[in-house]
Amino acid sequence: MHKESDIRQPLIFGDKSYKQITDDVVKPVFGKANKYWWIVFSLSAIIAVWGVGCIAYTIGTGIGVWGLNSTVGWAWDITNFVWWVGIGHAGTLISAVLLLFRQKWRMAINRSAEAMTIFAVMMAGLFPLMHMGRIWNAHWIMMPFGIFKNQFGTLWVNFNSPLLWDVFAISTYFSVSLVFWYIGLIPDFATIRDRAVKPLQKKIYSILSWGWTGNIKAWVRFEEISLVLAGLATPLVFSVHSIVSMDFATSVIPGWHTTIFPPYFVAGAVFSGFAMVQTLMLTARKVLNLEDYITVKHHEYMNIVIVITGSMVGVAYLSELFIAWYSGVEYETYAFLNRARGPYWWAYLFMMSCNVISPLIFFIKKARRSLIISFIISIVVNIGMWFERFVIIMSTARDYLPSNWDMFHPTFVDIGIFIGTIGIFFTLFLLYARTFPVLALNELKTILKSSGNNYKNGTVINPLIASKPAYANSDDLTKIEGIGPVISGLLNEMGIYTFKQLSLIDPINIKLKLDSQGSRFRTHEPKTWPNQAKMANEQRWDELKKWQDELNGGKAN
Amino acid sequence: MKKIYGLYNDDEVVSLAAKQAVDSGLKVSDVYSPFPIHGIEKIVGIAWTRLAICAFIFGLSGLIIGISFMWWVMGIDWPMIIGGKPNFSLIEGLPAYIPIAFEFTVLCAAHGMAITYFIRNWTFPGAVARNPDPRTTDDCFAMEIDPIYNQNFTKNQIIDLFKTTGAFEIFEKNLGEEPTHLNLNNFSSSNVQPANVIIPAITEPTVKDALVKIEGIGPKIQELLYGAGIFTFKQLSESKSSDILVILTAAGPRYRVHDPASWPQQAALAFENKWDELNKWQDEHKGGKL
Repeated sequence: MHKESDIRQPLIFGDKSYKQITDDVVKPVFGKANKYWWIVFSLSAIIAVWGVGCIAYTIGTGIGVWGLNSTVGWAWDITNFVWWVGIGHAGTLISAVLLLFRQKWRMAINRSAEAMTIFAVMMAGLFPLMHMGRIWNAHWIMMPFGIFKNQFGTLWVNFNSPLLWDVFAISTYFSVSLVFWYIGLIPDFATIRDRAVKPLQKKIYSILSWGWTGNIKAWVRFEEISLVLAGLATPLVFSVHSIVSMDFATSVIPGWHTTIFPPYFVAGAVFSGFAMVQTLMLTARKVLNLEDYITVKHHEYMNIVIVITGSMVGVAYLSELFIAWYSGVEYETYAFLNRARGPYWWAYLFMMSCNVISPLIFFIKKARRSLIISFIISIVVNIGMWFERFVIIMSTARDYLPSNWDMFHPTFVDIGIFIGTIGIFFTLFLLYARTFPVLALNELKTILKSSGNNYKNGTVINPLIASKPAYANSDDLTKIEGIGPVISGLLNEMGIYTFKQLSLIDPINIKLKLDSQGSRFRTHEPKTWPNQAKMANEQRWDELKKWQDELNGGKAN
Repeated sequence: MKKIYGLYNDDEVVSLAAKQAVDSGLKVSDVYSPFPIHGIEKIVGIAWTRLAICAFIFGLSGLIIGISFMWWVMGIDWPMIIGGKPNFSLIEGLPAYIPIAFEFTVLCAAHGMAITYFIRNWTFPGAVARNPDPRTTDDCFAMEIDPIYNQNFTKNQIIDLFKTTGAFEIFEKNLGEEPTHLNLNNFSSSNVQPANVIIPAITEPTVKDALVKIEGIGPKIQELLYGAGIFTFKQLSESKSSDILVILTAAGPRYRVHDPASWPQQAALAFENKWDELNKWQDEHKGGKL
């Protein structure tokens, strides 16, 4: 079993065993939903219905119902699209990049983060589809592959266009994330299948678990595919938002045509994605009673990612301004002055304060570990990141041509569709939380022994270590005053089995080990133990007995 | 003939049990567990998967298909110059094809690998699960021994092995049938001698040899071996390589790649002070691998 440093905080609290992990995670699936779930669910469902209504109205009537006009041809929809794709970024980052870095804390949140990715990318995908206008003719873009080929000539898509790259990037990202997610889910669905009692439930989870068996070879393949898919998905994560940024950066419009767009968009996407994961996980741990698994430490780690990526975004904003001034290109300078001082100044202010200034509070450790502050900042960041996309798109649409100087005013349909996608997203997520294993069961079980609170502080002794004293010539260390069965187990963990070994060790090493096990061991003082052990080793029992009577709990007076 | 299963409640205990079974000459057919147990495939003698190679081949085909398709569309089937880009030449037009070529490579590699994974594991919607007991997806670990492959052993001997290695429940069953529980208290004492212990008793730690002189052993592994009570060349030469393997696998996945098969032989040379011979051997065997 992989050993983890004692000074690392446990990732699983509440003295869990393998069985308890299963119990806790499958509880929402078998149990009844509580009041809060129903309230949030009904609210999201109502908003979702409104959104679907607005989408239907758009498709039935045409894009004219949106606030677009002859000078602003691309506004609300692309803002929402980029926002949702950005949110969808954290899931695969958590599951793939953090897997390659062997970050154990990812295991409590990766399943839900991936679910979030998939739902967010679905929401993103709605916007280009709607913007097509006559969606029933969507297959025309696939014409060269279809039966219509010769009706319209040999018409192919343009492989030089970033918009087409985007189609490939997002669909690859979506499908690979889906496969990655589902492969991880199969063994956990099997756990639910083997627990289900109601025939219908058992049937459904048997189908979902695809006959997973969990033998050696299956697990070997599982580990291999997880690793390789993580390796493949990692560059994918970075490519997707780089390509999204090229939708803008390859155009020759001042304010868009900059080389820092790809890294800046990737950092922004990770930033907003982690903020959304933070919002969802803070809610989920409360509603689903998962505080033992999604701990303050997890939120702290996510806040660190947020503050780092937020600072990267801040640096990007500032370097854009610097370059606009330093380049001496008056159109570039105008574009950025127009952002800050033009008619969209309020959006710029939102973007700057929410994205650059607000996360800086996470440099304070207390704030990083406060759940309320985390929740507020996560919402603020999501608002800020929406405004970032709005600023980039809208202020640049008002470019150097006076004919383009028109404002964009969203209609109720625009707002309805945007709010509606949030409703659909939350509806899907809440349904997921009640039917899927929200934590990666099989992965959590692999870190229980190295990162579980009870294993780390020694209240549960590894059965293999516990059985070691049966081996030849190990001594009964509990004969030393100050050593009980638990500490004896700890010493065995350090590789100390005999009086002889104990007599040779510097007590500071034992002290360090004890201190790392939590406050209840800190009062133990091992200073006399080597000397006691020396007497025991030399069979001077009378002398030892006498000395122990003088000692108070093994401590020298 | 029905297969015999022993249920265990800990991953390390079942690994040790599998090792003791293998050391006693039994063939362990499989182990069913709720999560991956690192290193058990080496103990039981199951080869590592070649799925990664297959992903590479799928990825390479994706790359070739992607680039040649774009080249065919833009340069051959319907040549067009868009924005002055040199679509007529594959090499000069290549930079614009790189994003899609990359995405298509990942697409093919990931999905090709996933499909192979599902076929090799025989998992698809509606497939029948083959785990012997529903608890093996929760908190139990089942070791499977098939009497057909263990003709030299009686059923009682197999049951005995399960019992001495810590199984809390022993049963026999065929796939899809009800299990027959084997009475734990009613079997004869047998001749199976499970291999003694995985970790030799700790002896005098003051005399230590520099085990790093063995090719394949670095300072980290030396510490592991010291921790397990192997301090001298003599002790190492007397250890079984399978015992060393257990020590290594217990220390975590990054030690899994080390193959200790040659270490006892090397240690024997070192113990007998045959350094020239050892050096010669080490020059011939890169990384100490046989």
